[in-house]
Amino acid sequence: MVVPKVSVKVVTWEGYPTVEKAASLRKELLAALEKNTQVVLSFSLLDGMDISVLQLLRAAYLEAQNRGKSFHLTGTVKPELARILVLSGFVRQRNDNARELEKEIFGPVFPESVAL
Amino acid sequence: MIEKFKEAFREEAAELLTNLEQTLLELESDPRDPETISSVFRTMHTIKGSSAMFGFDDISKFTHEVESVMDLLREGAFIADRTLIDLTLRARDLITALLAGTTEEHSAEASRLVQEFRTYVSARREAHVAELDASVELPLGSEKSILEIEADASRENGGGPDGASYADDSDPADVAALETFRIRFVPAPDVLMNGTKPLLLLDELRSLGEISITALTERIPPLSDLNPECCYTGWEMTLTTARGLEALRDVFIFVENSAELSIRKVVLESGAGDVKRIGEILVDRGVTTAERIRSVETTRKRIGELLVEEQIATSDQVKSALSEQEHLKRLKEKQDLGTASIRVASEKLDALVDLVGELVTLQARMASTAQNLHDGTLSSISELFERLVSQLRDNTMSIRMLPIGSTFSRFRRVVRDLSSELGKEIELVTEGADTELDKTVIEKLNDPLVHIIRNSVDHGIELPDERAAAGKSRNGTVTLSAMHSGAYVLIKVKDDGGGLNTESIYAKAEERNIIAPGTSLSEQELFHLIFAPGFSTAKTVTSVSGRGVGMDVVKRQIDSLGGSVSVESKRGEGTAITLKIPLTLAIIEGLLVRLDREYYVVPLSVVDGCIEHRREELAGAGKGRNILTYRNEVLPYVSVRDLFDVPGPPPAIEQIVVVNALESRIGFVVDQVIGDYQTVIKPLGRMFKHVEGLSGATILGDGTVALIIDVNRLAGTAQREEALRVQRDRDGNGTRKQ
Repeated sequence: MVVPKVSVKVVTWEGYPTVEKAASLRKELLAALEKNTQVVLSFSLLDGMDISVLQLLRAAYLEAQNRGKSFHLTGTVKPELARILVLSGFVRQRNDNARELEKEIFGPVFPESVAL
Repeated sequence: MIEKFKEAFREEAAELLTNLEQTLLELESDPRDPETISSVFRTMHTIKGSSAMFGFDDISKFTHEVESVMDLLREGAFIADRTLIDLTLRARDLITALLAGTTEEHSAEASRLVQEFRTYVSARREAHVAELDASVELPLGSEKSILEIEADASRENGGGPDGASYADDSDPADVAALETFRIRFVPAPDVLMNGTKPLLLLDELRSLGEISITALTERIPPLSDLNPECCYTGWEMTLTTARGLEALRDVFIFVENSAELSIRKVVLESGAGDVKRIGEILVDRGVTTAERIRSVETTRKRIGELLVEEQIATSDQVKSALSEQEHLKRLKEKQDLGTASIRVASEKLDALVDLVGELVTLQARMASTAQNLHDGTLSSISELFERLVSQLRDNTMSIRMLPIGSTFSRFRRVVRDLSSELGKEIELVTEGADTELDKTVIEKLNDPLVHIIRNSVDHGIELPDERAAAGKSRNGTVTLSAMHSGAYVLIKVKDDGGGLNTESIYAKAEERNIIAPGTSLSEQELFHLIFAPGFSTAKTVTSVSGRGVGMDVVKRQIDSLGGSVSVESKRGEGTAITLKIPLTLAIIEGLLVRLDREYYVVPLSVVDGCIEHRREELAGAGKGRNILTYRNEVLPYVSVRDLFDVPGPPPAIEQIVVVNALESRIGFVVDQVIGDYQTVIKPLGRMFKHVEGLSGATILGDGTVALIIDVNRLAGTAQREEALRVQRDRDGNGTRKQ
């Protein structure tokens, strides 16, 4: 039996990356997805991010799906970043657990509707 | 009977006065806002009317005076300033005190305040005499009749029945004055390259009113096709605001030429009935037609998913419509508040939670019986029952949940008064006020938060000159925030002050014998010394803080809630204290353990780990002392068997549950660790209330009672017994020597 080789890369971003850094962050994620089967991005050291960096998260998820790999978020979300995620409309409720937010950030999920 | 009404009045008045404090502080920051002025007036008017009705004449008479001043304010005779806010806040405090009963001191304060109000009004009248309309009568001088004021208020409330008090600070009339807009904003792809920051724009929109924002993310391509400087995201928002369309348009003034922008007013359904259905919103938005919606409604899937599947709407469009639906529902709930909510005594709610707890237990028992009997019919009934019970449990728990914002608003007054007393300029910023928490927990959080905030204002934030010298703004900020984190809520009090001074903490702890001289401590351990009993680094004892009580009380109270406290601090930048609080006290995650044939629950929040050991090995390792090595650390341990006098021989292999108790770790030796267990807490009966080391009980699935261990008290008992034993040993040795 052939056991598929699993390699996990944890990418850690820090500070408050904005559009000026988006190109290099994109490159970093692409390289990680190229070489590994699973890429995990840690939010713990992030103070915030602008919309260009937020877009990278969904783009990385789509990229991973296209390549048959996986992309996940992990770590604690600092309060300012939690605020930004809600303000940007990517996330509906503040939460400090990045893992619990990935479904919302990666793509449209339907909230429980009041009256469908 | 009248006493019952009086009590209801007291409760409602107390609630109105809590809101009044908040409204007055809002008035201070925006003294011209007619809505806020009207709200203050209405509160005074309601209290005056109701208090007269229930025979609280002192309150009615005094409130009449304040109400008259507010009426002048409403007429634009002058603009509220700090002095007026101070006076009105004092008046508010006095009314609160009068609700409990009138004393001579209260009467004296009432006369003083009335006099001060009169002096204030005449001074303002002289200052503004040129601007005043000659026809405006000053009621305090000329006794404008109560009837006139009532007629005014009645007109303002749409001529409705007067004297009724509102259950919250947002009166339905306010909501009716608001408008709801649906905004679609899709910026040009190059928006980021020319320096525009869409998030700032969203922040500005948010400041206009209540907003629901949905990001349209479907245009974002996979990473390899993405241009990182391009904006692929758009937004659909639902905004309810009193500021009107113009204010809304102003936000987009610089981007409207390079973006797709549409702003449409949402017509709200008036009267009773449900909020708009999702299909109706989509038809309203022109995404699809009513016929197509009807055609998919016949199938039994969720309509949102169906619409996406059938490619009638995109997921972004459905997500955004759902978000609007939620927004409208919240708005409607606010409008309906006057009629759709009822006041229920909290004891009744507690009794309901108790019954639901019983039901959860019974259901677990039924499930285990069904499993043992291998009865298919009973099993399927049990499954149905389980589903219903878990819905009932969630619903009941949600009734007890309240937004923490009501507690937050009280602290604005604390910060305002304290900072002016200390000559500091401090602003309190609150975030996440709508985070919900069990009402019992919220009540118990008030005191600890007051302690922490007072400490931040007193010790944390520097005086304006010191701040300026350190290159900071003269104004300090205390940020109070709340957010969910799994089954917990994190409440953080953060200041931008000088941060904790670790050297002075160390020196003081040494001086107070809290630590032995020369002890080496990590930064976190040093920070935690501020929670030690009797610790205070303040050089002088002030009325504010610095008595050395406070932070240890905070720690104890948070511990008793099953929560924890953590400290972060950076010299020169500030300190943040985070309280991690469980969402509810009615159900906890527990670790089920066994001693002989009895079961006990240890709250999982304090458990650090479990280890297994052979009894004789452990006895030999400590050389007579109860100590063990755990993760390279020497810890004391105690046999719960011995503490609870459990009969019978212990097993050869026992297990130790290591818990965090009383600022350190301690091991509890038990026969067996069974596993985690959702524990519905039942209080111990009156007879067992004072049993040391137990905090409650729970009923297991098979009907057995398991006792919940109060870890801190049990550790305390163990420590005392150990100290006594050591003392006895020493005394014994001493005797022999003699």
